[in-house]
Amino acid sequence: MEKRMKSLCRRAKRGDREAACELLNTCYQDVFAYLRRLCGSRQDAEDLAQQTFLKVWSSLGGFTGHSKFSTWLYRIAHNTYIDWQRRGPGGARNYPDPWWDECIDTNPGPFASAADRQLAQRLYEAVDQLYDDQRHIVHLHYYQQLSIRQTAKVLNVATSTVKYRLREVLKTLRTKIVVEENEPGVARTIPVAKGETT
Amino acid sequence: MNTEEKIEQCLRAVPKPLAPDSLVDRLCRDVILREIEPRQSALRRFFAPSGERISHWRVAAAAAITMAVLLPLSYGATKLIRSFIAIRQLPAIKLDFSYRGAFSPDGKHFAAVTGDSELVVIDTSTGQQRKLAENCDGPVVWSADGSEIAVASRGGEKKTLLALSLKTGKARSLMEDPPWLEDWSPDGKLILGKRYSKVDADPAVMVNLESKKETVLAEKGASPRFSPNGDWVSYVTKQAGRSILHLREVDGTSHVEYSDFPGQIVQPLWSPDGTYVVFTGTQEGLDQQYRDLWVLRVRGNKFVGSPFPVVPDVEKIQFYDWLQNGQLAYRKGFELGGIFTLPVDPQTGKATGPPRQVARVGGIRQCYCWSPDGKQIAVWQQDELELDFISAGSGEKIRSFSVAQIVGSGRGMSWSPDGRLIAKGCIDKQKRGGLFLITVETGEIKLLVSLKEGWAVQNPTWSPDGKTIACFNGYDGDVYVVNVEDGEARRLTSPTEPNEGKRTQFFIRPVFAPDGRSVAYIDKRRILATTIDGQETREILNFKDSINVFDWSPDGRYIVFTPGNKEIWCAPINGGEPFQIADISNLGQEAWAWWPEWSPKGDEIIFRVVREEYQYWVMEDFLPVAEVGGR
Repeated sequence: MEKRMKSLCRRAKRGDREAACELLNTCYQDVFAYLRRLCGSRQDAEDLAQQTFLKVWSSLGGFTGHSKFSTWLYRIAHNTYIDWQRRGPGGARNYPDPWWDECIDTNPGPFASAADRQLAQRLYEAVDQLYDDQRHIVHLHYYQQLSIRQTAKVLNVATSTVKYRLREVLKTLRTKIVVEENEPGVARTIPVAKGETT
Repeated sequence: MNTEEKIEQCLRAVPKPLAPDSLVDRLCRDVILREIEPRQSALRRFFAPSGERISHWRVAAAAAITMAVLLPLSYGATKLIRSFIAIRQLPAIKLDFSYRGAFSPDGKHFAAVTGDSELVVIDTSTGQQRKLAENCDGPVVWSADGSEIAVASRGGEKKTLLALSLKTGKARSLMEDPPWLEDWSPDGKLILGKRYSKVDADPAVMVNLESKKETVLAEKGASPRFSPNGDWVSYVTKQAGRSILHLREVDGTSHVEYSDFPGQIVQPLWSPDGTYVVFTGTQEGLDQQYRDLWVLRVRGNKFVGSPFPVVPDVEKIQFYDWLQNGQLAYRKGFELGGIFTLPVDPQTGKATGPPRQVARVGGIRQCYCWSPDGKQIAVWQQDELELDFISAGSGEKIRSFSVAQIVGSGRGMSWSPDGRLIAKGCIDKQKRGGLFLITVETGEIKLLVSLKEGWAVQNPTWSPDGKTIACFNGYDGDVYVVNVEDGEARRLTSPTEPNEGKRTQFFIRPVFAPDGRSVAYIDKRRILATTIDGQETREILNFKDSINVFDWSPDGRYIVFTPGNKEIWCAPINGGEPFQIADISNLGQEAWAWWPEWSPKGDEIIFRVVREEYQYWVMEDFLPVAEVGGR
């Protein structure tokens, strides 16, 4: 796949519009999904995707092929989002638009039950409430399926930093999920024995 | 699945928001490829910013930057790298030397006395060697300026200490009857050495070469060395099992000691600037002994602080010199060789083919014996603390036992005629020394008899009926016979009259005669045989040279022996002339044949080839940077 992408890239560099369109068709869904989840608004995500690809075409000559094309593309998308966030009022982050509500779930795997689905939605909400540096890690590594090395390249940090942040993220999310499960009013699965304090 | 795994699974299975169909059309319209240009390399862009011709000014600027910035930076990096220990071999030195050699202070030459008593000087960079003198003996020491070499000579009636010029080879006498040379003062007026003539004492002495006045530094001192400025002498003594490092002013006016090292201090040596003493520190670990290189700081007339380790595991370092350029030059020794068999005709005793190597075991601390059926060879590996059994045909190891309870062993071992036991002189962990019996089937080791100074029990040999074992007791130099049933020991050989309190005759390496009536043993150039009752002794061989080890042929008609060189000889018992049956010169210059044993069938002789190899190395930057700067 990556070989084909680089081949398309080389052709696009030589001015082959057809190759550029094929490249676009291969990538735009992923880029849109990434930006849609990040910015919280469908319209903003479309605009950001457009800006991202404009930057891609204008700087395609600078892509040396030393990294994966997808890594380079996500780096541009990430920077585009960061620029947009700085320029505006933080985008729609303060007014989150639950992106998962508009998704048609075609993957029954982990969401075999309604409880699992609820857990997933709580997780997505929790991810959106993470600090930015942690949130970006989750989006790139888990949501976009980038490797730790690719994630580190996109965010321009060390792989060890990515690993550390991932541990922190999991700790935070676990704490959040467990605390919510044990909140008063939520039924406990293990009955408390007589005399035992909670 | 735990909570974290479930979280990760949920995150990875995140649903994907789909882009509207109109988006891709918008994006395709935006594809503008006109401005895309091939990208030039950074170097090309630097040297030709306009994209056409290379700018000469920019090339000159790059050269200036390289000279002014990058080269110094790389020099700094090199220095940084050099702050780690650097070790390299000196392949130029290939000879073997009998005694401690020495590097010249500048490290350009190495001098030592060869096995042929020649003083040889080797250029350490080219390997070129030249003979400087003959009839030399013992270790050599360089003068502080590297122009002369001090060495003892046996040329005249008395032993003389000579100083030989490196350039001309011209010798001048320093003194007669010198001590065993250890060091030479920087001003050339004093020497340090050891006297080995006194009974139960080997004093470290300092001799004034002008007045010949000899000062005893310590009755049992070791490794005396002058400080580089010649004002101080360091040496080591032992007290209550601990090493004491002494620092003594040459005129005796000041004397300090360091006695806190938790182990043994060996070979203390001054750094060229006189600020450190380096030594090999030997310490008992939990499971083994450790030898590391330690350094102790010296300031003025005292030791400063505690020693600190600088190089771990210097087990094989034999001696070293600290050169003026800061390098520590040292020697390592290796034992190579193996067990060989030589096919022989039992009728004539002559070899019927060339020697064949059956096992690649080298160490001199190994010994072996045939099984009575001639199919196996038992090999005692003292260094590995193992008793191995190998096939005599293929050399393949059949099985092995741990002999970890044995801490030391004498030379030789012997398999009983019934094949059940192996006799060997050992000392075990309980410090019981004597003759031990090892059960071949189980590897069980039992003490048969404890002789005085049991560690010195050597060369056990079974009588053909398996009831008696003869052995050599190094403590008194006599052959003993031991009754296997009750462990009762009896001296077989008669001690000769001592000369000035010293015994001059030793009866070594006994071998039972195949008929069991007598025990043969070596007395220098002769092989004598004494009847088992001790009543009669006869000479069965008188050779032109010393006899090293020997064995009977199974039929008792021949004796095989080695004179301790590359040759193996055979001699008929009936008085015929001895004849050479093997020469292992082709196995290496330093190889020598040892310990021949006739196989039970009489058609093979097993023998050991011992070969020692030495390597010379230098290490530098072994002091931590913080320590070099002083602390």
